[in-house]
Amino acid sequence: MNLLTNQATRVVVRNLVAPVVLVLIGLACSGDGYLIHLATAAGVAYILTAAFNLVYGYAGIFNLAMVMIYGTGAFTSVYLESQLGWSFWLALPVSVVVTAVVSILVALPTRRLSELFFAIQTLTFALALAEILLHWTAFSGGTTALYDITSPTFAGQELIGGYPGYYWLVAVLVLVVFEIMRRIHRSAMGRKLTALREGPRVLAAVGVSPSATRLVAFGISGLCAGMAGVLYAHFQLVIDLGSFSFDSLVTLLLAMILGGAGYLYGPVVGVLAVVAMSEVSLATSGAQDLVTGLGILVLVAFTRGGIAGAIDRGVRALVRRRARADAELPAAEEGAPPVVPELRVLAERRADAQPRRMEVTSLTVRFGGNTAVDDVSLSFATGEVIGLIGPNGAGKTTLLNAITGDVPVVAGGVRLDGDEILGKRPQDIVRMGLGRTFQSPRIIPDLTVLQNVMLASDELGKAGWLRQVLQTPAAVRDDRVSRSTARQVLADLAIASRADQLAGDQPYGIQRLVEIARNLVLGPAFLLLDEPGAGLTEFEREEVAATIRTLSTHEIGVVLVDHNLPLIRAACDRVYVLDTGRLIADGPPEAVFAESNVISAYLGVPG
Amino acid sequence: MVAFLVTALSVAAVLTPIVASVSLVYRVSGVVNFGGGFIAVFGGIACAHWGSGWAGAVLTLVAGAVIGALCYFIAIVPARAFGVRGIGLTLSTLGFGLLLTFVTRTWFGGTAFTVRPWLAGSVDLAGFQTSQQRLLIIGLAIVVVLVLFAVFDWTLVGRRLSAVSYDAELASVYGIRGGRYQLLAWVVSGVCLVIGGMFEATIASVDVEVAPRLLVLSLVGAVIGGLTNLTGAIGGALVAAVATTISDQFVATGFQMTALLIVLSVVLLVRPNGLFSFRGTAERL
Repeated sequence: MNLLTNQATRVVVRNLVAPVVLVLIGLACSGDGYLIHLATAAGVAYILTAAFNLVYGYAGIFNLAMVMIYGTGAFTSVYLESQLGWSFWLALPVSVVVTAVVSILVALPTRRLSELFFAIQTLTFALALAEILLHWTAFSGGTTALYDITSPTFAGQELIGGYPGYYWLVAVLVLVVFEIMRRIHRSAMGRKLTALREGPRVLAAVGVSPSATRLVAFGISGLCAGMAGVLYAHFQLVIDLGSFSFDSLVTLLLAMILGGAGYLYGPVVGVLAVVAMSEVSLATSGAQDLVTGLGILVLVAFTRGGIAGAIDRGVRALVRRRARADAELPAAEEGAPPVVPELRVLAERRADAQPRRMEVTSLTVRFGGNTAVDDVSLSFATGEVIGLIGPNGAGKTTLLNAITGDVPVVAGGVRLDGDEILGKRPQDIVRMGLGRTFQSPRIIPDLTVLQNVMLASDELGKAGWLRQVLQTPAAVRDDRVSRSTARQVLADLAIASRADQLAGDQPYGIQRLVEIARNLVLGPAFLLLDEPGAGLTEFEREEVAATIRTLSTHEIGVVLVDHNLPLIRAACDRVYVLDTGRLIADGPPEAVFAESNVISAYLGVPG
Repeated sequence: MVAFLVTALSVAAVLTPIVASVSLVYRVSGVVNFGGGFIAVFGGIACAHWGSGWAGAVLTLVAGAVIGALCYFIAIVPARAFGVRGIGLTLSTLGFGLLLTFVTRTWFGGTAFTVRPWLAGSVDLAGFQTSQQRLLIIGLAIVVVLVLFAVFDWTLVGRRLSAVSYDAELASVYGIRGGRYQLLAWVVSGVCLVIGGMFEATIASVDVEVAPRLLVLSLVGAVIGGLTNLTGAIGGALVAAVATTISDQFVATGFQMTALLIVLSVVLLVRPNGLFSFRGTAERL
């Protein structure tokens, strides 16, 4: 009971911190025009930086068009008010919708670009948009500034930029944005965005569309940036295109890396630090470039994750020390004989599973003039373990990639229960019940082991992206279920003690198990394992073999690619042998290993 | 037509050394130099300040070499030592660019500068009057390109540089000191950047506000070129120059960036790795 009230108190305190701080700042600054000006500016800057943090810090998308999207929000609201006579309260929501749309328009054609090319593309977009706005004088004022900005009124009171009334308006919106960011931070959406940063493949591997997740990041960040722009315009009461120039982008970058990209409190700390720094360079006049330049150089080299990152690492180290003092970690998992895991989650998921069948017919994959997979036909069903072996470069992984939709196929077909799955996107194939692991484990190093598995279990929930972002009761419930499912799988695989450690800190063998756990949560009909035994110790390999056999008892069809013949022999019912892209043998392991062409393919002895 | 050709080629003459510099550094160090525009602007302004004779130009070239080396030692080496990669290093070069801008502003002031043309007078080309200076920089750009080709394709130094850019670790196994060649790449890149800046300053004016524009022009050119080799860089610079000149002369003035955005978007939609890059598509999963 005591524990419960403790926890409840903690939640209440946590929810009250931000509003109390904002109220205190407002009260403390109210008497001083300069301070209230500074506080309002910081509030607006926070909203913009939080928007950038969402898209860059979390999702890893280096969107350099951010400042122009912010500017678009400012100009749109002023245009709506001065040219169309709208009220601020109508112009604000419409403007943020406009900027969200602009942001999504930036996202759509840039889906396939690398990080760097994307950065350059968005920077060009920003300059081009600035150029177009410059010529649209009715909208932007062209080379002259826009002065015709009316202040919003609320309950008969005019909220004029630089006065306390306007500060309170900004404070409320800061609170709204902060709360959204906080919810995203701990939601399934937050995990998905972090996964997106590490590359879209992990998301697809749990059946999530990376493009859709990306659009959510762009949409929300565009919305927030636009909101910051609207607030900026009505705060300054005069705007021109110069306010949204390259210099502003540089300041935004500085705030981001100074505070710490990808941390909830990063933008808060970053904005405070930049406000402090700009005060310094104001004092020394004209040294803005020097201060920002030095700041960026030093920060990039010497800090990882900015100030928020440093604090986070400190807290983690402290927690770890305390945990070590408690000596709660169980004795090493190695040493004991390999346990045959009992997969309770699978038992649930696959209780009344129907038998299913995969049929690969005359599959051919070419890279340029090189035929990696050459007219290969094979089939397998649920409940059986088949091995796929062959020397390096035989086309084993390429065959898996073709089946899971990762490489384009020249000819042939892949049918699941008679339905063609070729040409479907990887995430859709996963959703049809075909899971896979990768040669080098695809895990998200910055998430904990538990969160990595939750990426998959989140997908079993019903709440859509909007409810996930807002953390509605349904989403919170989903979250709880997802967490307990993930914990259970980890317990089944005997790695529950590592649940709350960072996945990136785990040894190779554990990372492989995390990847397998992620797949198990989805209860796949088929699981394609790409060299699960590579780089493992003999002991760990026996564990893998035991796990694979258990999978087949749950009527999962397993395709096992590996070089380790004892592992293949121990785990597989049938074996296919590939050499230079062609199928050269198939049958039970013992029979196949005795065939002379298999021996010569492996050992290079002329048959 | 002659007017269009001369303008496009002279824009390309400014861009080619800058784009070549960006792509050289990217190839050898894996960093896209976001400080490029600032270094070019420094070159233009410094040359205007140090006299329009050949002495001023030579002095500027030396300064460019020094700046290239400084950029490597200040922006790249320390950050790398702390394990910074990718976009982080790019940010670091931006930091260096801002520092340099501070220096430019402090030494030379923030106003616009022009370098007095090295060749005075104008010529008549099929009815089109153009300054001799424009033709001169086109010629000089060709010389720069030939020198780069000569150094990087025909000498042992160039082949070693290619080796380092292809696989620094493997190159070190063969006794090539990667750091030295990276430094060389940055020095050459600094020189190329100030050449571009000087060219720009002889046919137009240059001030610190131009830097972001030059930066974007160089990046877009480099991306269109595919960031892989010198031929790509020249191709990218030509495409960028033609696009901006067409928009200026045949559509409407003042929409260069928009034209560039359209070309870049189309190129990246069709070839996400750049127009002139021929990379294998296989990726190990």
